[in-house]
Amino acid sequence: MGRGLPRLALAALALYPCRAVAAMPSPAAATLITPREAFLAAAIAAMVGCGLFSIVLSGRAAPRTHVALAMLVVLIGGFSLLVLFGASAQAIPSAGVAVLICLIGLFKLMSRFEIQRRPDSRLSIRRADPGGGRE
Amino acid sequence: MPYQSPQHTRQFPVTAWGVPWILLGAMLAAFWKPTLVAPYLFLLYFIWSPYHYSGQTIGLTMIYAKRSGFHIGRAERLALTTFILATFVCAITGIKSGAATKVFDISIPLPLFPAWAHAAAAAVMWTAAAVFIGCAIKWCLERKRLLPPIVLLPALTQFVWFVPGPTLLAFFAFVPMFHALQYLMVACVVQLKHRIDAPGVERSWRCVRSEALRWWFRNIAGGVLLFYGLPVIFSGTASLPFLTAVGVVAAAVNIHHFFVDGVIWKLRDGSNASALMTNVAEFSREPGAIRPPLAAARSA
Repeated sequence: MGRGLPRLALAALALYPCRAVAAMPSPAAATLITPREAFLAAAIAAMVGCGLFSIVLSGRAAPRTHVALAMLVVLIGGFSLLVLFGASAQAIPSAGVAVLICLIGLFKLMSRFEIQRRPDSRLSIRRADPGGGRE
Repeated sequence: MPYQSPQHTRQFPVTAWGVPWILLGAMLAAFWKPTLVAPYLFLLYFIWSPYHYSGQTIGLTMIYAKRSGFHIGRAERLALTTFILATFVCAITGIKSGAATKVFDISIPLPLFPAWAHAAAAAVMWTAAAVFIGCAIKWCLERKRLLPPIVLLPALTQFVWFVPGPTLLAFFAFVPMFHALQYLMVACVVQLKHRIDAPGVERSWRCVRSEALRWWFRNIAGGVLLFYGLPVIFSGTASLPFLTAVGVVAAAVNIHHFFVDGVIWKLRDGSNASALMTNVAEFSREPGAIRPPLAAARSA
């Protein structure tokens, strides 16, 4: 018992790195990506592009333009998730309901795309009131 | 319409320039990986389009209600919106997964819904309908006059489109066609109003006719180019069936339309609102010659 455990630990140490090295892909294999990964990479690149564009436009564009760019990121991300996990919604009914609810939320969000937001009435009341609306 | 002048594109730069590039990217991704991306792009369009039509139904009901003097308060609006969105959910949850899911030669990966989802959506729909009809009856009793049936027509049409309609396969083609017809009629009136109100434009039937003809020709030619020309080019270059290319292009063009529609049809925009509250006959007369409908009715 006293020697058994350290031997087992040593055996594990000896075996696990071997398995990890064996599982590591070669540099040539690492460049081979599946169609799903290729699509995901393109979607991430598009999201990065939108983010960069928003940074480039900082101080030069209206806040609603930045909000619209953020909405585009949400749209691309949402569509990517649909492509990745849409198949599970075809098999699991509760996942189907979740997908529909998320899509309705996405459509509702997109219906506010680049629309001038109404000023927050509570905020305007607070601004008008020197006491900040406090009693 | 937003592409007609640089002023419009500057007003909505992301809608005018950002969204087309993103959708072009999605379209190219669909042609690049047709089995992976194209079905989901079409699924997005397939679920988004009835949601979008629902928004138009609410908008049209508001226009007809305003024109008829039927005030839509908070309760009426909530009941109407709930009824219309419930018809949309009924339509989506009512489609059996695996049945009639191949459109434009693309297998749509429709989600599977639990059996209770359709029944729940139907219960919400009927409750909201009962509340809205109750509000309408109350209004009729208070005013001692009948509610103009046109106010209820968009909601009834939506019900026929989305609840009994989808049992017939043809409705999957008819509904976008009806929506396009509604859209063209309303957009034509708004375009005429914008043109006729421009300085130096003669207000006559001849001018209205020529502008309307020019507008219809441009739209039909553009439609042929978008829905036939582009798929021909893409199906040739991507070696895909023509029908699949039509489906992908239609999905991308329609999603772009949903974005553009969102920014131009807000009734808060004074010019659009005023165009939607007038009659085409008024475009042929000078503003001073127009008799307000109420004054005309009183003198009659």
